[in-house]
Amino acid sequence: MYRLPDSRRFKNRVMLLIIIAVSILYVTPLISIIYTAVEKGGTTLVEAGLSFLTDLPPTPLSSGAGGIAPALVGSLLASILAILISTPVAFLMAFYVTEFPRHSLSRVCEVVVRSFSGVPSIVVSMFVYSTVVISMGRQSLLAGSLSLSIVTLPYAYVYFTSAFRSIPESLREAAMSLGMNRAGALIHVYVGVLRGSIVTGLLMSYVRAFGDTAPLLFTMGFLMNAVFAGVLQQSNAIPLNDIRIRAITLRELP
Amino acid sequence: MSAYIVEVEDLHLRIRGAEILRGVTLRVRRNTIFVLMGPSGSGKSTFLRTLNRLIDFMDGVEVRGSVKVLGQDIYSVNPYDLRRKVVLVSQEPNPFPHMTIYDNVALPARLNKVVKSKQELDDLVRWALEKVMLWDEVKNRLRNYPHTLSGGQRQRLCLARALAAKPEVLLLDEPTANIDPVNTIKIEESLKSLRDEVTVIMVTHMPHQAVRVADHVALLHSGVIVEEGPAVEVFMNPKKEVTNEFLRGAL
Repeated sequence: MYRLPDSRRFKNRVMLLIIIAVSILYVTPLISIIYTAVEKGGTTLVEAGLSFLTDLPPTPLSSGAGGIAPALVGSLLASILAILISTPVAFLMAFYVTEFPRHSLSRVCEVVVRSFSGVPSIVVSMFVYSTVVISMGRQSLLAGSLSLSIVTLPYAYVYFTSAFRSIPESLREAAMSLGMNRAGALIHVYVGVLRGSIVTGLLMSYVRAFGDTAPLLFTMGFLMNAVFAGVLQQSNAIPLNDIRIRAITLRELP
Repeated sequence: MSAYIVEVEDLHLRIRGAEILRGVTLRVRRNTIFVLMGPSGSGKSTFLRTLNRLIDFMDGVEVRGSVKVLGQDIYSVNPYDLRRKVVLVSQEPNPFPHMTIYDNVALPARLNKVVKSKQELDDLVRWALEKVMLWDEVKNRLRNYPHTLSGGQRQRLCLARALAAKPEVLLLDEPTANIDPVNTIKIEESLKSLRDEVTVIMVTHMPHQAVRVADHVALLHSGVIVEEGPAVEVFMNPKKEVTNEFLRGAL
């Protein structure tokens, strides 16, 4: 039986140890974050119970831990609204660019998406502030959602473009051969073939929107005294509260 | 009404500057099986896709000459309407994977509004599947998906789907190239029984297949029709040496 030379076995063991050490180093912060969140957050949840999710935040005069209901509802609604705005636009843009790759409008779409993806999300927030918030005269859930939709649009577009390009040419030909126009092929064939990708694209966009902070800084507001005040009124979001807690913590540090 | 359902006159076709078809002229009678044969790369599939303007989806295509289907110049009619009457079945079986066997066959009937009721649709689906000798194999699993079928069954399903559209002309691009001999025979038998319902224009590079199914044949070589005529005449007494070589398998 063939036996590796000792030098190669030694190198193999050394590389294996290095990979294991780097993996541990890589995973440790993640485990630490999860542990801290579960330990501290879990304690609060156990003490407060489900009311932590349904109550308003505590005020200086209130007793008890209070809750994150405005932030939770605000995040959920803002993310849903954001993907309702951005996903259909991204989907149709991706379809158009795939079907008409050489049309000038396709080139415009590519430029627009690349521009959007390169803009820092804080700048998006400032843009929506200067246009929507100032026009409306207040921050709002709608403004926050618009800001999030601009940020998530490029991600959804890239994902859907890739999905459309993965449709086998034979299926396109089958659809066209039966006399379907492009819209018919989209409705009757492509949407069915891509339904898994559509769901994944929606979820990815949703997750992206849910966790993003900067787009909401100047647009969403900071509603504390109600769970939901309306789409055109101020709202709240979980990432904004995280910022606030960190800001408070920093002020309290010596 | 003309006896010819397809009339092609001096058709020249270039794709990105390369000349693929060089002055093709031929006519196809109604309710016949017309086989266009020729070696690989002779332009057969391109010719087929010109008849229903699927070639429009390619870049850099230049077409010159006259192509009439059902008495009308194909460039004077709506291409989607044309493709509903002139349906193509590709070489590669391509049933829609997200639709059941039933829905695959029913889709073109629904889109083209060829039926008025659910019962008529059920009857049409059954008819189409019987025509391709697939009904007995799938009648108890119409709600299954095409991936449960073999390659040959999938190709027959595609043929049934095309028939359900009630086309005037059926274009078949080497329909048995990728399937087993048993299913090949079934498809060839199906084609012979379809003569009364539809005109079939089939492309093949296999002379023995043309011998088995064709009423009328033409040999396309390097973009030119070398010889054409009734199948028996061309096979028994080929006039051109190129035809002879093709039939012997030397091309």
